[in-house]
Amino acid sequence: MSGDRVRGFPAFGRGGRRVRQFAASWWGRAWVRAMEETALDAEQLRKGRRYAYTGHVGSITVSPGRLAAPVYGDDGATYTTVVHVERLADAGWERLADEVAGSAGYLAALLDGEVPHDLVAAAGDAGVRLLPDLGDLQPECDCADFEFPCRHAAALCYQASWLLDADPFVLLLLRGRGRAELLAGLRRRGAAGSPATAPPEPAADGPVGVDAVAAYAGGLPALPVPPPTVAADPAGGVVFPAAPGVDPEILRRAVTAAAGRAAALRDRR
Amino acid sequence: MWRRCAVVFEPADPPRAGRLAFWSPDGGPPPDDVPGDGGELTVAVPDGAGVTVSTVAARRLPVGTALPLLAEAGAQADAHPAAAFWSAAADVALHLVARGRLLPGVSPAGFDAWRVGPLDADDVGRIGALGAAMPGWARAVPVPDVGGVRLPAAYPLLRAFLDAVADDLPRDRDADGTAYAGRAPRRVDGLRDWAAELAAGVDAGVRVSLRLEVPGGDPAAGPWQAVVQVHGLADPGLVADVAPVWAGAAAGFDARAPQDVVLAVRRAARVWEPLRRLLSGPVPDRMVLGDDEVAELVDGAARRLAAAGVAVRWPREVERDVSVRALVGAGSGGSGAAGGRVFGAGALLSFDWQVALRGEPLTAAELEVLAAARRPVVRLRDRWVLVAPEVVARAREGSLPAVAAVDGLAAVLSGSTVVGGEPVEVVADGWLARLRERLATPDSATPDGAGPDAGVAVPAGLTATLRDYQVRGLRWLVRMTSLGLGACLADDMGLGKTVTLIALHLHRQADPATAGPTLVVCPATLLGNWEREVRRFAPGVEVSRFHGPDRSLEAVTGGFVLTTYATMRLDAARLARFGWALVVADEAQHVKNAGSLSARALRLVAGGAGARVALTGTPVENNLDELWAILDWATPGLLGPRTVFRRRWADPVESGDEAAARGLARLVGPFLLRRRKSDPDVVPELPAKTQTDRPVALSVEQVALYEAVVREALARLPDTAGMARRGAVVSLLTALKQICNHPAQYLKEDEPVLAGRSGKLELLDELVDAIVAGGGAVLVFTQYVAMGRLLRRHLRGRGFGCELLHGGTSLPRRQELVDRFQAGAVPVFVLSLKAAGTGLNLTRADHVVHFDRWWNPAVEDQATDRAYRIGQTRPVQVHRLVAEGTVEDRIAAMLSAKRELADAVLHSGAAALTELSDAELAELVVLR
Repeated sequence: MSGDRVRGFPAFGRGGRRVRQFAASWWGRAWVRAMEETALDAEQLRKGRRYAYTGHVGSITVSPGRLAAPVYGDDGATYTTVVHVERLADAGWERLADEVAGSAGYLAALLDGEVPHDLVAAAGDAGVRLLPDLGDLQPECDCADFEFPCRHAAALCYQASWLLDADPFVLLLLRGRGRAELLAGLRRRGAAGSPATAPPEPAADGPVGVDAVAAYAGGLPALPVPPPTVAADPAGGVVFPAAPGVDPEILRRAVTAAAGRAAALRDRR
Repeated sequence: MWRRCAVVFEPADPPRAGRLAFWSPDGGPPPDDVPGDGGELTVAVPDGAGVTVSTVAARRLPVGTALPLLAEAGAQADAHPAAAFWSAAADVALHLVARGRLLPGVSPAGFDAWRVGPLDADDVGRIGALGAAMPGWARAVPVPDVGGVRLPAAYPLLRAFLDAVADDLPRDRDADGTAYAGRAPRRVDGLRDWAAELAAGVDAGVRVSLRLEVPGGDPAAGPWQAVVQVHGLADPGLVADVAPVWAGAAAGFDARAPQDVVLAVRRAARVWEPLRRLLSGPVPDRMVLGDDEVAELVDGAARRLAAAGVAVRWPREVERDVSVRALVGAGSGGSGAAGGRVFGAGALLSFDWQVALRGEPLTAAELEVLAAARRPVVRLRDRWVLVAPEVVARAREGSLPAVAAVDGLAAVLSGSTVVGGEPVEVVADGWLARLRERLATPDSATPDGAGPDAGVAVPAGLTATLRDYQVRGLRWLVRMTSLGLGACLADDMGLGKTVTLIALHLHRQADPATAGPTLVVCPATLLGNWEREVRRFAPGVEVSRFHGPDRSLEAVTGGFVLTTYATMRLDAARLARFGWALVVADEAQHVKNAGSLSARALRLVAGGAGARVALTGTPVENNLDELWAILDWATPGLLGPRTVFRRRWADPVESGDEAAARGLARLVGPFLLRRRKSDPDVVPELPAKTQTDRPVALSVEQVALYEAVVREALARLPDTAGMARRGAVVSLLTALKQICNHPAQYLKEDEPVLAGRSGKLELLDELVDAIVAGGGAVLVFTQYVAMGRLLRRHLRGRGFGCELLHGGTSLPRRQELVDRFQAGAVPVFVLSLKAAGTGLNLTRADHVVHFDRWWNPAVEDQATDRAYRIGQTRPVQVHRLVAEGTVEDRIAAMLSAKRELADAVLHSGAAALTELSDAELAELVVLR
């Protein structure tokens, strides 16, 4: 599932969110705190915050143990900035999965975009650290600054907290596993640890179809009353989102045309 | 005939490539006229008690080509059952597609494919019923590679056919190559994520419901359990418990289902917190409920969950149909209904809780059982009954404090009230229920005079023939006032509210309990009209004006007293002390601002009155604050205090709450009678054209000007003769008519202030307000272009669209103005009569106002007929504004008295009047 292990996020761009606290979620704030408390120079943090607000950070790539983005300096240069995060060992993942599988609410919260306090605490008790702590975020930047973290790495960390706000699975990916991979692992231990089963086919519980003699034995049942007459009304359906290579307007027109044809055909009855 | 063939459907990928195969059930080749490509088909057909598999000749048609055939076949008697079935299936598919129930997706083989969806409950039921009716002949092709002879399951095959139709119809020959629009299959594997996202929550994914279980089927035994059930959105018939879904053993649910389930349960727990416990274990399958939690579910939590998409299914073993209603007026005041004022001030009605099981009220003994209940399940009538704590509390409470009679009536009429902040259904029985029935049907008397109000006859003293709808209005007013209730008669202007009210006054004189003087409060402009109508329709009845500096009530013993809103404000206390049998507020929209001095004075004046009636020609029901002000005056307390009315009714109604709108309509309906000119039972009774003289008083300024001009002219006239005299007379008459119109016209002021200076203008404002509020349109005629300009400026200044047509208007411009008026762009059209030549068709107008008088009635009629001509569908009402006591008022009388003079005027207009003697002239023009 390598595709699941690298996620790219478009650049935030200029302006927008200026709030008193950088991250909106408690786990996002924990992330920011881990970075800020490591910092030796508050000036770099201030500049990093400004960079984050003013669109100095390009698109961010998240992968296990690694957060990376190009950061555009005031000097016009583009720096390659990376923040390393410690990955959980396989054993740690197993223990975390045990915790999540033990309480359906944990998974529900994660799927709902929340990191439950209880889960972090329970994982901690099992020796699994989900949230980064002081010194867990290791910046690396090809700028010439000596500061630690430099303004570029600080900017990247600040913006990463916005990603965490929106999707806790970003945190889990940084810790080493993608969302699909994690969910598959949970499924494997679902239902009191029973072994994984493939998604069942409808036929799994019996032979395909019905016995021919039985099918004919039903005789000739009366047909139900036909549906009522309706005017063509293509608005009855759903709104289609855009997709690569698919114009929602074409879909909409196709539905409208189909509705008209269908109504005309019914009129001939 | 293809219809006699058996038909099977062969699905394909993409679905639109699916085909229908036609074959002869007797095993022979299909008839020659059956379309399609020839080929062979392996079918299983019944053979005695078993089936025989054989290969037959068949013709195949792609689903898109077959659709028109299937669509036409219908349920024809000679159709083969399989043909009839697929024809019915085609109809169901077309019904879905016609409603736009189409979703784009990716077929298993990776092609662009449409399918039917989302399906609502009716669709699901219909498809299920159709699937159950699929005969073996319609699916006779055996499933390959299975043991024994097996035919396809009905539901999946039917669904495949529906999707094939759905995949075919959106395609366009001209769009080949475009995914989802062209016919050629396109690989779109890359769109699977998009398709899944689009389907999620629409026709893929799950929803959950809760099934409540009682251990061992005995609701009294032990704790209840809530069991989570999982429903497939793709196939709403699909239901499973959570455990098999977790184990991957539930057919129809995929590997994502557990995630969807935990999310759905989490969201349900936001609606009802105890469900959070389901999430504490690994599998959210079931939880034990405490009695208090069952009680919460009964008490509204289940309803909130259902609203959030989580249905709650109650155990079959318990009865839940328990309702609590407030019973108003049980056993109280029954005798009072016969005629007494049961809703007068201080009257009370009892107010009791009534608990019913399946609609049957509980007995006192059963209520005791209920009141003693300690659990949400109670044994009643040999059944376990689920009762909300609120029900138990109300059973203990028994009855509530008695309510003011009018409040009780309001609750009964609207069918609901609010107790402790909660809406409660209200019922009545006995006399109150009968009264509600009676009030709910305003025209309860049948046309032939039967019905509860049949005793109300048109009073003998009335010298007018009431039209049927006016008789109905009279009966309604009599009924309401005799019950001690107020009423608002809001008929369109011109339907005869005044004469109906005069009839009510006369009717009330017959009974000593209701006899006595009637006070009419109206705008000053209508005083003259009231006085004339009373004299005309009730000759002999006293009518006096309480108006002006010498006003007095001393001589009043009965009949009508007329006053204005302004005078009433000044003398409210004096008027209030007089014992009025009836107080009438005419043009009651004047008190729409309940805090105004007028409104407060009107309340004071009517405080001790025997009855109150509000009259208005504007649609008050459109403005709820206005409605409250008027009805709260007519029947104090009916709608509750203003703030409560706003919160309970006005705010919900104005934000589109239809239930509130219906409740309010039921509540106010009995108190408001509004007939429109266009009502089917009113129209036939109306004459096509009604003429009304509208007498108005001159303003103080007008009186001064008028008297000065008359004095000066009469002093000069005896010394004139010949041409000079003629000129002097004509200019005198012209000056007087201008003064009657408006002082500003006579004084030729440039930028005059117009309001408050002319009685005619005040009345015109009243008329235009009422006409425009009712959606009507009006022509205003004046002989003076200068007056026309003043009117246009004034009306526009008051916010009415208004145009002016006069002799100087160019022909193209005339047509443009007429078109604008006819199209409804402006509701008021002022015309200077000399300009109104032939060819003007102004049938949009349903009112005509003659702002000034013509000596010649024929000219007036000609003007009126602009509105009343071919194409006019509504009755036209003509208002002639007449300044009281002036030359305008007297000229008509003089013309009818002096025939030869009338003829002369007819031929030569005002010039004929120059031949009058000085004395005759004085008689004509002196102000009285």
